[in-house]
Amino acid sequence: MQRPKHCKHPLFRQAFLRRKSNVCDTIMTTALGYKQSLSLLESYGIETPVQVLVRNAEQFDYAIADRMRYPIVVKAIPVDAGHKTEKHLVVTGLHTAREAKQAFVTLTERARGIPLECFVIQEQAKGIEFIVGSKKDDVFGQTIMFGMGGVYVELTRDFSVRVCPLDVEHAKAMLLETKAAAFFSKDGFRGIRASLDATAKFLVNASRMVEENPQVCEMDLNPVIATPDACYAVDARILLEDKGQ
Amino acid sequence: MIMQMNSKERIDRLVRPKSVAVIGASTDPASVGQGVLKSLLYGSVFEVGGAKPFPGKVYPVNPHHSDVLGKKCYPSVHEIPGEVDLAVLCVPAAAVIQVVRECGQKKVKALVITTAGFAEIGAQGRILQEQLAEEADKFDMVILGPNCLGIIRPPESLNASFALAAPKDGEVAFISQSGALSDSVIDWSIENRFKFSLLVSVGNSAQLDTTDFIEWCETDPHTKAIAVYLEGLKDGRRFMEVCKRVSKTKPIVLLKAGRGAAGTKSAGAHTGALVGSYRVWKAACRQCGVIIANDFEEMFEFAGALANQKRSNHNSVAIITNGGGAGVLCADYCEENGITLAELTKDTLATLESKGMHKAYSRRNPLDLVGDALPERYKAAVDTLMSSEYIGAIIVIQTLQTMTDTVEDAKIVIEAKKKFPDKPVCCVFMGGRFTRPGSKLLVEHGIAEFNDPRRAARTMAALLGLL
Repeated sequence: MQRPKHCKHPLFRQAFLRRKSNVCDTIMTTALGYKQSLSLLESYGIETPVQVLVRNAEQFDYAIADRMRYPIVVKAIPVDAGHKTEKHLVVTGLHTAREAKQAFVTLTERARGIPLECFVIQEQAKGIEFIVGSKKDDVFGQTIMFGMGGVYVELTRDFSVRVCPLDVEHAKAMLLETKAAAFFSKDGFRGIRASLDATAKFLVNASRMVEENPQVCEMDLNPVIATPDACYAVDARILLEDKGQ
Repeated sequence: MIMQMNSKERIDRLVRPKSVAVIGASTDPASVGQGVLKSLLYGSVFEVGGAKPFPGKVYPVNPHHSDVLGKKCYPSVHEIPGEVDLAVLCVPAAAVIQVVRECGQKKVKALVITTAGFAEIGAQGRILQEQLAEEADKFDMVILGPNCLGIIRPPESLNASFALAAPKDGEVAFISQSGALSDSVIDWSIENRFKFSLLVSVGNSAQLDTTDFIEWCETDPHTKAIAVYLEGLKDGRRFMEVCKRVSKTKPIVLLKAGRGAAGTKSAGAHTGALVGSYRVWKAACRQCGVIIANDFEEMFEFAGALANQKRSNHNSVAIITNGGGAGVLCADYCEENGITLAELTKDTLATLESKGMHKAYSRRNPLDLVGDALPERYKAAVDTLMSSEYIGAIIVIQTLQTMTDTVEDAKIVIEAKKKFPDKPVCCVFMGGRFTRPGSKLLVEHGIAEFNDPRRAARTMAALLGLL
C-alpha cells in the first residue's frame, strides 16, 4: 500500500485503510476505520464520549461490567462504514447491563453477513446535535462546515462554510450565522444551551486537523453533541483521497 | 526568472511599453490584426471622441504586406530597426510558438497573445499552451493570454486590443476572464459614462492570471476599485491571500460565473452533498474582503460607488424621501441587505421642525418630507441628518412631482457630501427624462444614483461592508 504524502498524523504512516468507494468520477477514496478516526480526532484535541471498542461477546461482557456510566449506546461498526442509523446498527438509551447485552445480541443478529470492524460501547452524550464536516475544494482546498444536526441537515440547508484554517473569532461567527445561534445565547433556546466557546474550539481543532492532513478529502462528524460546557464528536466518517492506487 | 519577478514588475512591462509591434497586422478590415493596429494608431477602432493614439512607436509586422494603414510593414520582428517592448500576436495558433521564439530573440519584453486554439480546446491545445509558456520563460518574456482580447490602459493611451472601442480614462480596473464580454462592457461604459483605469482580458492565463492583475492594482495610482469577472482559478489560496491584502486599500468586486455546480454526492456523507463550489466561493470571498455582485450592472455600480466614496462601518442609515411608498420599499430592501435604519432622536425631530417641515411629515425613518417638498425642505433634512453623529450614511429619494426641483435637490446632496465626505450617500432620483439633469449632476460629482431603491440599498450595503 502506498503511503499517503504529507501526513502529519502517525496513523497515516501505518495506514490500515478500509474498502474503497467512488465519491465522484475522478477521485477514488478510502474510508478511515473507526479506531483510526478516533485516534486522529483525539490527537487534535477533539473530544469524544467515553467509549470502549470490543470485538466479541467476551470482551463486551468485560467492558460493560466495568465502570460505564449509564445510559449507554451500543454500535456495530461495519468495515465499510456507512451511516449506522440507516442500517439500524445503533441502539441508544440503554440503562442497564442487561439491556446492553440484549442490544449486543440484536446487533450481532442484524449485522449477520456484514463484515464488522468492531462493536462500540459509548456513554450516551446528552445535548444539542450538530454536524461538523469538511470537504476539500478543487480551488480553495480544505473547507469546514457547521450545521444543525440530525438527519435533516440536507433538507434544512442551514449551515455555514469557511475556507480553513480558522481562528476562534471566525469559528464563533460561523456558529452564530446559523439558526443554531439561539442555543449559544445567554439564555439558550427555550432554556436549552450549548457552549459557544467549546463548540468554537471544536471547529478550530477540526479545521486544523483537515488542514494538516490534506489527504482527508471529506469528513462528517455527525452528530456532534454540544452541552452547556462541552462539545463531543459522537460519530465520525473520514474519507481519504486514494490517488496513488 | 520571470516567475520570480513580482506582479508589479511583470505587468508594468505590459502596461508601459514605449514601442509596440503588431504581428499579423493585416489589410483586411475584418481581421484581428487590423483591429489591434487601429486601436494603437487611432486609440479606438470606432470613433468615440477623446481616444488618443498610442504615443510610442508602432510597428506592423506581416511578410505579405509592405504597408498597412499607411504604415511601413516589416516582414518579421527581426527587421524592426529599434527596440520592441511589447508585441501583440495576431497569428494562427500553429505559428504562435515560432513567433514567440522570434520575439524572444529580438528581446521583446512582453507579449499579448490574442490567438485562440490553446487550452480552451482540450488536451492538444493544453500541450501547445505549455510549450508556449516554456518558450516565453526561456526568454524572460511576460505573456498575457492566449485567447484574449488584449489590454487597454486609458491613462497611458495604450490600447493593445482588438476591442471595438476604447473606454474613457477612469478609476475602476476591470479584469475579465471573458474577452467577448469585455467588448460589450466597453460599449456599455461609453453609453453610461463609466470609465476605466485598466481593462484587461486575461484569456487562458498561460502565465499572468487574474490574481496577478489584482495584485498589480494594489499599487496602481490610477485604480481606486477593482471589478473582476471570473469563471475559474487554479490557486484559490493565493487569490485569498492577495485579495485579503489588496481589499484593505482597494475594494474588489467579483462577479463569478459557474455557480450551478452542486456538491458531490458521495456514499452516505452529508458534507460533500451540502457544500457546493459556489458556496465555497462565497465563503472565501467573505474571508478575504471581496464583495460578490449578482450581475454585471451591480458589479459596476458597486465598483463605481466604491471608487468614488469611502467605505464606512457605521451601519446606521437614514432614508430621506418625498414619497412614502418609495421610502417604505427602500427600507424593506435595506433590511434584506443587513442595513440598520437609524432611529431619529427627539433632538433631530426638533431641529427638523425648527427648519420647517410639513405638518404631515413622517417624524421617523424613513423621513418622508411629503410630496410637495421644495429644495428648502430637502436641505433641512439632508443637512440635519448628515450632521447628526449617530447617522452613518443617507439614502436620498426623490420622486418627481410638479414642484420638484431636481437640479437644486442634487446640489444640496453634493454640498452635504462635500462637508461629510466620510459618510456614504446613495440617491434614488426616480424618473427618466425630467429627472436626468439632477441625476447627471450627482453622477458627475461621484455620488451613486439609481432609478430603483433596491439598487441603492444594495450599493449602500456594499459601501458599509455588509455584502
